[in-house]
Amino acid sequence: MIPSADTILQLIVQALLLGSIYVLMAVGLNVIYGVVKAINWAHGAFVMLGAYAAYWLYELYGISPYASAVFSAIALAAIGAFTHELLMKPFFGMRYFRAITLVVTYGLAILLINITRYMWTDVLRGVNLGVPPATIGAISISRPFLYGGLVAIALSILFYLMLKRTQIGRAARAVSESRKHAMLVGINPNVMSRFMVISGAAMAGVTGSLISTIFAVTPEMGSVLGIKAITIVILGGLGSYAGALIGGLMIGFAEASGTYFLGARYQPLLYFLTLLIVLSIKPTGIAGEE
Amino acid sequence: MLQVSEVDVSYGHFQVLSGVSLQVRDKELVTVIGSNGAGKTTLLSTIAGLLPPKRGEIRFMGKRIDGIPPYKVVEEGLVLVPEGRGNFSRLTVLENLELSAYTRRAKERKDETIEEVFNLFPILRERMHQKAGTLSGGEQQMLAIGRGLMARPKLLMLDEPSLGLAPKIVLQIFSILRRLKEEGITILLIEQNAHRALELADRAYLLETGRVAMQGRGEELLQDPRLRKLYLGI
Repeated sequence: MIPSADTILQLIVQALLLGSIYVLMAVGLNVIYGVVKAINWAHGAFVMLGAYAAYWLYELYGISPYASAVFSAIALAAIGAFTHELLMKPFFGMRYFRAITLVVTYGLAILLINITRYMWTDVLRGVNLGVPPATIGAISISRPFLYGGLVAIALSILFYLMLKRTQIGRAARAVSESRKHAMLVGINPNVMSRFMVISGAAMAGVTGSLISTIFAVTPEMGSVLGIKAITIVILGGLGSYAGALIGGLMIGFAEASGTYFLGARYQPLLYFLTLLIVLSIKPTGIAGEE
Repeated sequence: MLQVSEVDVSYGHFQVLSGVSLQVRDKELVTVIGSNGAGKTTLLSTIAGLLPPKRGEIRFMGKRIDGIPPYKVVEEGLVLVPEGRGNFSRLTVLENLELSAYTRRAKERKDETIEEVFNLFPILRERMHQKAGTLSGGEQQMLAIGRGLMARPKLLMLDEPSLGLAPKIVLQIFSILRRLKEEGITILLIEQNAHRALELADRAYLLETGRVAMQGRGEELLQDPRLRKLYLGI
């Protein structure tokens, strides 16, 4: 069956919006990696917690996920601070820092996912806003995708400008290049890395709020999204802002078109295939340098 | 101004500096010369707070600074332009300069200092929107010195600013150092180019295998027969 032009357009817009949410998730992971040089395996679990926060606040108090995103951000910022102080900082300067933090944050992911499972079971939950799709011209877009995508785009741009234009952004980029040389400028690298882990975790929290209106909220989403986030940043290039953008949008497309043409079952296959092809051509990822 | 007393530094079991004492007075240009591996870079790294001394003490403006982290040392007004220049290659020239006015004291005078740096190194103004990584070796060194000045240092420490540069550029760097000295900036300079450094310096120290082997006024050391033979090749 050949889809009509409108269907294809609708598919593309939907993919771009979903991809934008993935971009926000990947940016969160990348800002942590950029400064700390640690891959936060628990990033997906952070997103899951943000999603649960949105779900419960909606379910119990009727607060819109777009409003409670602020709460998700703050809650996850606190968890990010804890992660930085206890699971990353003690290992700074160690030879196998990257491997250690990968394993430790993997442990954190398992812990968070299972605590969630214990508290709230595996029941599929989700925020159903019950709003009709938005009709733009000949296409109709699901509102959770539309709002979620727009919020994600706005936040990604805002954070990008912060990194590019402000002194704190310059300092973060300096620490990312060399902790030693950053210290000689007067920057306390521990303050910068704490700030970036907190920011990255807060972004994961917001991602969770946005995603709670699109996907089912379950403990398992923590591991699925964790792997997805890591796939995206490796695909795009670790630590690269452009990489998160390209990778996030590609995975968004792979998923949306995969679901449409092949069925949801083949999604993972499709994006791992994408990853395999890209890495065999450019092992550092599309925009990666390392 | 800077007082280094009886400092020992080691990497593991390997002792690099033994009982090194040195001082820099206000508005002086002091140079430390010595061959590769004599401990010159280690000395500056220790003063800047990158390495902890095993013994001895370091005082700056009367305050003990050994054992405090590098970013606190910078706040005191003691600034190191490190070996390898320490620029941020993925930041533009302008971003590098702006970033380097990081302390509150430096931030207040940022715009004024950038103007001074651009007047000192006009080429940096032309290249201000270029990534630092794309500059030539000489331009990189100018940026590194410019970054040092952005911090409004009370004492500027330079680790081999002429290393790896073409002779013409070396001359240019030394004339800039002379100018900074005339403007009253206190400088501690480490150089392998002993001849030029001694000519410029008020006072000098010769470091040999981690010990101060000789010290005196620049021209005194220039006249010393043993030093001339070993380090100046005359």
